[in-house]
Amino acid sequence: MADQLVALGLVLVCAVVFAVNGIRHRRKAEDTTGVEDTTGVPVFKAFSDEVGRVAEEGRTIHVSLGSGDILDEQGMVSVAALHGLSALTELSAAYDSPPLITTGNPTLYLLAENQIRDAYARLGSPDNYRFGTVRYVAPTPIIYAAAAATLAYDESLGVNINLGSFDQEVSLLTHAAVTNKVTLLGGAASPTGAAALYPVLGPSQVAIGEELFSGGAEVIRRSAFWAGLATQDILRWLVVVGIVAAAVASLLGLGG
Amino acid sequence: MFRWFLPTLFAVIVGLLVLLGSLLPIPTLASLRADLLSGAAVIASFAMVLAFANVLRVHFGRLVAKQAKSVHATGQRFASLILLLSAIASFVLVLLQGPEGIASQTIVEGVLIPGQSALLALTAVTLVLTGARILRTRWRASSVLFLVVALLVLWTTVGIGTPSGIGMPSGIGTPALVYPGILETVMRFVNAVATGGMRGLLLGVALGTVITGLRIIVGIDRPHSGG
Repeated sequence: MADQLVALGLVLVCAVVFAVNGIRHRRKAEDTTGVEDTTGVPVFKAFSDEVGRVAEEGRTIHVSLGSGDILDEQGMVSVAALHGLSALTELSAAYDSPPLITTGNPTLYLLAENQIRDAYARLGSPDNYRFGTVRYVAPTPIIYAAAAATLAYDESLGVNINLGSFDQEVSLLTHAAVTNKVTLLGGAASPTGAAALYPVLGPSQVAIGEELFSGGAEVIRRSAFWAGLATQDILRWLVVVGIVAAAVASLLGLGG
Repeated sequence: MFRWFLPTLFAVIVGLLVLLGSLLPIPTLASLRADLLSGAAVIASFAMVLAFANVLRVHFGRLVAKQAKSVHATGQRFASLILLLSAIASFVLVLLQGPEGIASQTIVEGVLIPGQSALLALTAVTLVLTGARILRTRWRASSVLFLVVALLVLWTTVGIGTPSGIGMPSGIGTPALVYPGILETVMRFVNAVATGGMRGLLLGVALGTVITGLRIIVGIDRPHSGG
């Protein structure tokens, strides 16, 4: 019960800090219209840059979103990945050269399809959505990765974006992309997924860990997303202070 | 209004109830949370049916599509045919016998599990190849450090260079038999730094998860209705 109350306290602290930051960023956005902030994670900008290049070459972008279930703890990673891809989906719909999106989870498949359909609907051409743009591939992460990797051989891919909930199985996707000389971009939240992506992606091509959550702020540019990032920064310092305090208390023989 | 307001209102109410049901020791809220999660499981099952239909439609489309005659296109069609047949056969078998039936279990134990094991073994190879590519993509001190640490961990885990060779129990003690003290000290340092880094990474992800969830619960973020 004590754990539950501590968790509730943490959620309330998060909510208050988020609300304060939200108000601050809203005012800042009104005061500094036209001034663009950046999160310092360039990979999200690169997504939309690739759309034009790939459309000119007559190729396709393959986005693999992983197998993060919306109903479990990986759900928010998948939602953050979809935020990071929103500029890409909007621009792809505008060029009418939709990406090929694959997922390994049914709920994520529905969300991704919804995002693409909405992008077409916002342009006033919902009928242009083509079936097969979003594909559900397989239910387990390893089979999903192996099956999605075959697209690098079967389709004419220009870019392969692996963004979402991945573990070491992402190396099957990156290997297929490297073998077929497909440009790679991506990001993973888990340490094993990040470790598999890090060696094949340059510093400006990858988002590791919490960087994945900055995609919304970078491409959607709404004050709520910037407020979320500022809240994350403040909470991170609170966690650091908490860890140091706990270490000092333990060193002094205080507490448990 | 119906496009985004009602789904958002529903998401906010359900999100708040599930959150409070998890955090507050009130039996009514806990029971409501359990009911809502059961409802979510039913919706997820329906999503699975839609996803299965997507698989069938994509591969049926590939099967009947007019393609240039080539070995590669024939191979693709053949793969789609095999996938369609096995998907439909598995579906019918599970419908007839249930997921616990003999045929269903045989498919899981005889095909799925060995297949996944083989693919997992393959990731070991692709990971090694990926690691070897690091000096091509990132020629800098951190890349060398990455490789050195990866090799050290590999060495101490499989026990190469020990009297019994590969297959020794994992852990830092094994090569330390041959190189007493040095490797043990190095690996203690590496493990401490790696554990610290990993916890830092996971804490960052946890904070990002909380904030993303919070945005959905207060209705600012609407991934379910395109907002």
